[in-house]
Amino acid sequence: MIVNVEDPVLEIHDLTVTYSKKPVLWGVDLTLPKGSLVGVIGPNGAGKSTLIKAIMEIVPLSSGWVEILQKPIAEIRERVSYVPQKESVDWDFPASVRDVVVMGRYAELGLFKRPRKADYEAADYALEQVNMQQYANRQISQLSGGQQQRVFLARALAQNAEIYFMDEPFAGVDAATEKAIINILKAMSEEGKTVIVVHHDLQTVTQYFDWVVQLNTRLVASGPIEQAFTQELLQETYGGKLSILSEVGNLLKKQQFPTRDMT
Amino acid sequence: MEDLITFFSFQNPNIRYVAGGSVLLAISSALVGCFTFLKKKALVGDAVAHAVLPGICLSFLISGTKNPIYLIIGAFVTGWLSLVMIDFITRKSKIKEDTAIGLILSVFFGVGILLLTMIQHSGNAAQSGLDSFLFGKAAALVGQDLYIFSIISVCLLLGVILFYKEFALISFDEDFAKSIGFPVKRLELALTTLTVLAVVTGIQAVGVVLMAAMLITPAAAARFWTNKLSIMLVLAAVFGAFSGVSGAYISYVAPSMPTGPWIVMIISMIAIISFFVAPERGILYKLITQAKIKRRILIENILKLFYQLGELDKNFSAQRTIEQIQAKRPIKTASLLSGLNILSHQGFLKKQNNSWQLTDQGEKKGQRIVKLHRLWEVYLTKYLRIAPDHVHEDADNIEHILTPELESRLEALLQYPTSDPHESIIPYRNVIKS
Repeated sequence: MIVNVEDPVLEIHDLTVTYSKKPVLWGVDLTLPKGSLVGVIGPNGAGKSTLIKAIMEIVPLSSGWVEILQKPIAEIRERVSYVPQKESVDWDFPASVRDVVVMGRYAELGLFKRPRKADYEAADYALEQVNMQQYANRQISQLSGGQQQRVFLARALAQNAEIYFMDEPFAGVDAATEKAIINILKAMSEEGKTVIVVHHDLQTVTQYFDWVVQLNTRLVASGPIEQAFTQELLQETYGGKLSILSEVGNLLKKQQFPTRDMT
Repeated sequence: MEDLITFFSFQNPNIRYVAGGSVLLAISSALVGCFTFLKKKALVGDAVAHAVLPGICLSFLISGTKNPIYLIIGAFVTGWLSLVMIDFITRKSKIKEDTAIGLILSVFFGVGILLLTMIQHSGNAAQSGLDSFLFGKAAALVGQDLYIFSIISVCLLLGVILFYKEFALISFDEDFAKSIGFPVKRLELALTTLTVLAVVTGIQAVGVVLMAAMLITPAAAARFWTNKLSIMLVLAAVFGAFSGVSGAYISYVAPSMPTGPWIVMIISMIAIISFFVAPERGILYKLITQAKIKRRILIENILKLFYQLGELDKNFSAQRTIEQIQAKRPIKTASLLSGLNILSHQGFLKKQNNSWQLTDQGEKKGQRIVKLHRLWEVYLTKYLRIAPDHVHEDADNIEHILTPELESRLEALLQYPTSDPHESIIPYRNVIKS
């Protein structure tokens, strides 16, 4: 059940990613329409985070290619924003909320230039959007889980990008924050921005997203919610790994076999 | 005293060299060390420090002189190679970073010691003093050496200033840095290079073995005092500089005392003191805060007791003796007495021949605590569905922490209940309405 679109905002072609030769994503082919709010779902270890890291070229690809707005990511980074999992950083780092949010301006600033007043104002504006302006000078170690997530979202907003990739923005947040975040994401999508979210909670998928991508090492489904979020497909995604596929994967790792025939 | 003046007038060129050299190297390693510390790569500095030894020996063997430029180049090459190899091992094998560091450190240091022993037994007259790299010899920082070290230190300083934003970003969130297209690999390389340079300059004074302390300890000490990266860097540099000067001074006053180890001793002392007395993070600060909270709980409990006794015999301004109070609640006499004294001193109680009575203000405060206690009991039974006989202990604690803001929210939420789950009246203050 893979729906492809004309003139896609994101096109992934034959993407395979391996960790020490074992494929964690296997032959993923998909296209996403512009302005959609996409939920990427799948069980633990299905390669959801890896997918967006591969798109951002944070992890190397074993094969395939990715194009955003018909261009390779390296040419278009300033129009793409990435929100890592909040557990991926040390929140005891000596920085204030504003220090973190202003990092969203670094792409535009480039190397060796200090953030200017305009950048700090952009950061403050982004903080206002996530309703955190009163915390601008707060040390980041004093934030709750929900506030940390809002700070990351503010940093992404400060980037003024067109396409956003977010790794579990709803993990470990309170109900009020979850609601606030989804409202912001919906508003962004209405403005024509494309938002791709790694998501865990199946209960809310239909409420939050208009497009769903189901992953379990391989791509199970990609399409509008009403077509791609069916009982049958969920069964396929969460029903376990394909046993032959994962055994071949283990074999590749054991024998340190190349993923693609290089001859 | 005379020593102090002679030393700090810096008239003697030797003093100038040693003090200046110590300060420069302490500052530069402290600054670079802040980033290794924040990247949680503290051990990497140790590995580099040990790995420069074979480089120094090799370049001596090749060049045949102790010219610092050759030695630095040699040290730089092997120091750098060790980091590349640690990185390679961690990426390409199942070996974890700590094991890789241990492996590389001992292999390089072993080779270094081997070469050093070889050189010492070779009968080459120029070799004498080469072993000072093992334990350091700041007193050897003279003339030409110092110029070279100053140049390297200034380069380090400029490097840290130039890369400040970038180093901070890759220390905090490497994936994000990659996602915005920053050349993370090359920035890591730059930080690695600066670390190696800092080590290479530092070992001259403190030696291979103590070098890791020069990198990490100022950063660790500075971290206790601030939550701002820029201030942390400045503080680490100040701590480093202070220990550099002090080390040089101590070895000047007591010539048998080595400079390098004293620098390390002093910076370690600063770190230990910071560990105890720094605000918010220090142990002492935490103890004082705890003691303050304990005292507040004690005096609020005493006022509550006075108020409850007043409720019983409908007389809030009655005189109470220690025995009467202890009959209601067995507080230890010593702490009860100190609490009573504090309260009299603060004007919440009035003392008259070994008995105490509430003042107006004391009655209001006691009433508030009793009210909060009972409100919280109502809240627990109503909203957490806890049985009425289980709510008392919790309320005994929470009554002390509720803020006026939470107090009014609680009152509004519960709609000013008249009694608690045990049918005790909840006392509200009569507000005079105009």
